[in-house]
Parts: sequence; C-alpha cells; structure tokens
Amino acid sequence: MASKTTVLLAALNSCADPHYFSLAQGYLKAHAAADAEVGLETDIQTIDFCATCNDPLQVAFYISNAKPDVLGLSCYCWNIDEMRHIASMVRKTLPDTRIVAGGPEVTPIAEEFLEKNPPFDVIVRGEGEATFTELLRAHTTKTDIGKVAGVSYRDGDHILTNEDRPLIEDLDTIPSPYLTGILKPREHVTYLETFRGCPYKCGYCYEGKNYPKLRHFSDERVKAEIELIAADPAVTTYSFIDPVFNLTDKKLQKMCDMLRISAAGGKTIHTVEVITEQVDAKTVEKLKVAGAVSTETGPQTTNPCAIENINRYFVRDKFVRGVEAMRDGGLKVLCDLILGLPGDDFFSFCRSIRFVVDLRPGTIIFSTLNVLPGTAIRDDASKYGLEYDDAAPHYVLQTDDFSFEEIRKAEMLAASVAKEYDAVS
Amino acid sequence: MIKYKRLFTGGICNNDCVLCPVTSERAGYSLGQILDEMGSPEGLVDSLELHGGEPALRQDLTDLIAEAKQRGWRRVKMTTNARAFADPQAVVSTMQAGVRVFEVKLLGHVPQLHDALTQSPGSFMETIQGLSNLRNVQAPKEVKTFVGVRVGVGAVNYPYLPQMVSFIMQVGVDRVTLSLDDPQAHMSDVAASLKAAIDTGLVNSTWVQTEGVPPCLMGGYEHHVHESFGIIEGERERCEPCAACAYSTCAGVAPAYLEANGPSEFVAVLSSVHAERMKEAAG
Repeated sequence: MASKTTVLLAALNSCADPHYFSLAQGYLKAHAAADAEVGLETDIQTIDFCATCNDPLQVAFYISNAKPDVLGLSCYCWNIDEMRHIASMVRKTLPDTRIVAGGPEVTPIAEEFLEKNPPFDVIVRGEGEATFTELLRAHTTKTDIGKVAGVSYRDGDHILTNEDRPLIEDLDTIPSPYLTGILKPREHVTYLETFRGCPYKCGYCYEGKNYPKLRHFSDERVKAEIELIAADPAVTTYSFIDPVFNLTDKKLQKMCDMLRISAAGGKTIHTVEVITEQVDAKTVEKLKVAGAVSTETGPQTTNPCAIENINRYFVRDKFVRGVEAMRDGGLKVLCDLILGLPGDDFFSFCRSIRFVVDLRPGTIIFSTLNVLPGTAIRDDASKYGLEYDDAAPHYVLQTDDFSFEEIRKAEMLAASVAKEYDAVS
Repeated sequence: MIKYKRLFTGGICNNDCVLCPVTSERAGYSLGQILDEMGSPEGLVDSLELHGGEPALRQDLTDLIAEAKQRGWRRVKMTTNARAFADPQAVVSTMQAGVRVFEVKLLGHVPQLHDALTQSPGSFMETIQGLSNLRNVQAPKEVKTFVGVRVGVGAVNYPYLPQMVSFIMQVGVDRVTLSLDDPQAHMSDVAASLKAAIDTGLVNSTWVQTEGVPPCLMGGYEHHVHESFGIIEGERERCEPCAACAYSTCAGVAPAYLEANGPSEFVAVLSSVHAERMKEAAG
C-alpha cells in the first residue's frame, strides 16, 4: 500500500503569555482532512512555535525529524525573516520537501517573493483552505499544479501564476477546527471567527484581506463552537478575531444571545474590536451580557488630513460618547494610536495623544505604522513621500510631514506616555 | 501629557535645596489639612501628584494614599528625592499602598555637585540608591510603575546636564525632565546644554523633555519643550519681542525670570514649520 503524503504545517506565532496557536493552520488541516480523497492520502500534522521564544534552528530541527513531503508555512510580518531562514535550512537538509508559503506577508507579492526567495516552491495566495487542499490533491495524484487556481509556483527557472481562486462562498464548508478536535481551546488564546472581510477599508489595514464582501459562518456553527468552549473548564476567557464585533446591532444581538450561555457560566470575552461610533449604553449592556470585559478601538489619529489619507471612519463626538459609554459602563477600553500615518506630523500626533488621554480609556496602545503588503498605504506610498523599511514588519521611516528623526522621537515619547498611563494605583 | 492635581504634603524634608521654594513655615502640615485639599477627581484630571517637602517622610503616607484611592484617584504620583527608598522595604510598601509613578529629583551627577545643591551631605548616594531600588523592585506582573527623573536646572549645574543624563541612563528611567527654575541661569546659556543633554537621552532611546525654556531658544529641539503639549506649570508671561513671534502658542517664561533678566535674550522667530504645526495641533 502506497504510503501517505506527510504534511507538516508549522506556525511561528507572535509572542504571548500563554503562547498562541494558529487558527489558520487549524482551518487548513480541517478542510484538507475532510476531503474524501486528500483526507485518505495525506497525514497532516500541525505544530506551533513562538517567533520570539523559539529560534529557527529549533524549528528546522523539528521539521527535519518530521521529514514531511509537504511543508506549509504561514507568513506574517512578525515571522517572515524567521520563515525565510527556516525554509533556507529545510531546502538544504530536506531537498525533496515541497515548501509552501501562504499568509498576508506573501499573498499580495507572490511572484516577487518567489523570485527573491528560492527555497520556496509554491505560494498559496489569498484564502488558503480550498487552494491548499487542491494543491495536496495535485501532489498526491502527481498531477500538474498548473491547474490549481490560487497558486504561484516555481517551474524550473520560471515563476508561474495561476488564476485567482474565487472566494469560498459557504464558509461552513470549512469544518470547524474546534468541533473536529483539531484545535483544543486554550485559556486566553482561543479565538473564534464569525465572518471574513471588513466593511471598512482603512488604508493601513489588511485584516479584511481586501475581500470584496463579507461572508459569515452559520449561526449554528458559531453557536456550537461557543458551546464547546462554554463546556470547557480550562477556558475562562477567549475572544473573536472579527475585525468588528458590533458589525450591526442585529449581529451584536445575535452574538449576545449566543454568548449568554458561556457568560452565565462565568466565561469572559476579552478585547473585541468595536466601531466606537456605533456604541451607546444599550450596546454596552449587550456587550456585557455577552461576557465582554474589554474592547479595542481607534482613533489611530485625530488629524483630519491623516484620517482622509487613510480612509478611516472617525466621527469625533460619537467616538467620545462611545468611549465614555464603554468606560462608564465598566468595560476596559483599549484605545489605539498609530504613529507615522501620512498627513500626521509630530505635533498633530501629540494632539491625538492628548485627545485620547483626556478620554481616560483603560489603556493606550501606540504602534508605529507598519506599511504592509497589499495595503492601500503601501500602494500609494509615493503620494505621501512615504518611505518604509523593506524588512518586515515594514515600519514607516518617514513621510513628507513626519521626518525619520521625528518619528523616532515620537516613538520614545509614546513609550514614556504609555508607561506612565498604565501606572495606575 | 497626563494632567495631575498637585497636592502639597508638607514642608518637612531631609534635604535643604538651595533653590527650593518651600520654606520651613509650611513644615507642619497635618493629614487633615492635606485631605481637605485633596478633593476628588474632577473633569479630565483623575491623577494626583504628592509633592513637598519630601512626601516619603510622612508617617501617615499609607493612610493618605488609601484615602486617595478611596476617593477614586486613578493614578498617584510622588515627586521625591528618593532618599527614603534607599531602604527597599520602603519601596515595596509605598508601591503596595498605591503610588506607582515616581519622579526623582536630582541636582547633580556626582556627590560634590548634588550634595552642594541639596546642602545635605550624603544625599546623592541615598538618592541614587533609592532611584535604583525604585527601578529594580520585583513587583508583581499586574503592578505597573513609572520612574522618571526630574533635574532642577540652575546656574551651578546647567553645564553638566549632558553628563547628568548620561549618568541617569545607567540606571535606566522612563523619562527625564530638565526643569529650569533659577532666574540666575540665563536661558540662552542653558539652551546649548539642554540640547546636548537631550541628544544623550535620545541616543539611549529615552525621552527627555524640558520645562521653563521657550521654543524660540530651543531651535531644532522644539519637540522636547513640554509646555508645547499644553501642560504649563506655574505662571508664564510673554514679553515684548513675543508679539511678533511665530510661536503664538507659547505661554512665555516665568515672571521672576523676566524681572531678574529682562527680555533681551528673546528674539521673535519669524517663521518655523514647527510653529505652524504647533498652532494647527493646538486647534
């Protein structure tokens, strides 16, 4: 009997305590394993490493012990350098292993990435589940991957790009990694997903993956996942990766109704992302009934010019009222500010800091602009005199209004303000 | 950036600083008097700054902080010479009581300079030990602290500011504030030393800010003028050259300085991209 194709999906997650596990890997395995043909012909394993705590040599050692026929690496701005290093070592130690990359750091620049990174064989572009399953089918049946939509690949000295794969219309065709037992929920770092895409198109953000429309997992599936977690005594807090938790009032009510059970059992939802302009006292009550204890929101900047440049939705008085409602309603509010947005300068950035400090949120999170592949800001960089670091995570270096030195100074000021802000009695 | 209500905790102090405005007449300040002045958080101000004298010397400090927390003060800061914190136990008990923001006053980078200005032999070593203890205490993960250094800049110590900041960097702090409040120190002389001190902090990735010197004298370093963030301590006055100055958001300088030195050092800056941006940011 022919042996199965061994597949290893290795994630290098951003550091957290406790450590994260990769939901993306869970989806990839769940979809492929459920395919009648691919599921029988492959043995798919997943492994999670931490990009900070585990070094590439450790990861390469694990991979070399596993000796997979196909190695899948999900590439993000926090792990791409390590993934390149790992692939380079694996290429030398396991020359017959097909190395496949996917993820937001490579999808928008697939051909360029393959040209610059010879150890990689294939890029799975965009939404990976169906494409990866088809790729595995081609591998196990030894057929040409030239017919697999959604991949870019190396063919001798050439790099070829197949047509885009249409989005998966029915997300429920991706089995739940939790309900199938592929992923075991873990305290604090368990994340559920109820929809893909984002109605907002902020120029710096790739969370919505540029999907043209929103697609939802079914209520039944989401409810089943919530019930699974509600019944797990090891998990007291979890969250959602949805870019907007309060997408609409109707959706929020639905989530609230589904989450009542887990909330009644004492489980909490931490740090859901919200559109604050849509928040009022009723929203806060719903969030609390759902078990939410903290929310994360903008404004990212309050500079009107920068807001326009990044296409961000911001209505000042509604934002203020929303933060006040959440704060006074007992939710911890995490307010985000991004440093280095086009149109901002040092002093307008300071003004944004003062605005947020005066709102008295639970904490203020500062981050320097990452100019990510696939984002409008990256595509329009020259319009703003925006220079960024080619090395991930692609920090902004300077713009027409915010010089390199000023951005570095602003980072130091922000670090100082953040530390003082959090030093509460 | 964070506004504090300043709460005087009495004039008793184990230093006798040359430039200290607090006289011994204010030494005996009862807990009752302090609590009367403490009030409760109001409007945008939910943080309390304890200053003196030396707040850490109060025997009833724990009661005072407990009352502050009871009244809803979210953040309690202590401006201190840190000598009491040379005893690590004092650090632990003060942090446990609820003080999480510390601003340590320093006047020199060597004992000869610091002790001469505090008029208290041995104060430098205790202050540095206290600063180090504040920095290195093993607090539980959920206890977040901030330790800054406030340098009182005057005519005697201003030439040594870069060395002072360099020295402070060895301890590692969250911010350095260089605060000029000595009419004998001419701002135009002090400015160059301030800039060099800022550069020392920047190279060590530490934010350094100035107080008491207007942006017209801080060319190229306007970002570090704390008053440009809208928080102004003490009275300020604009003088005759200021009328034509592009820094229209500048509040001016301390009246005592103008009285002692006149306005001759101040020359209007006619145009500056920073002035325009400060004005736009001020709204």
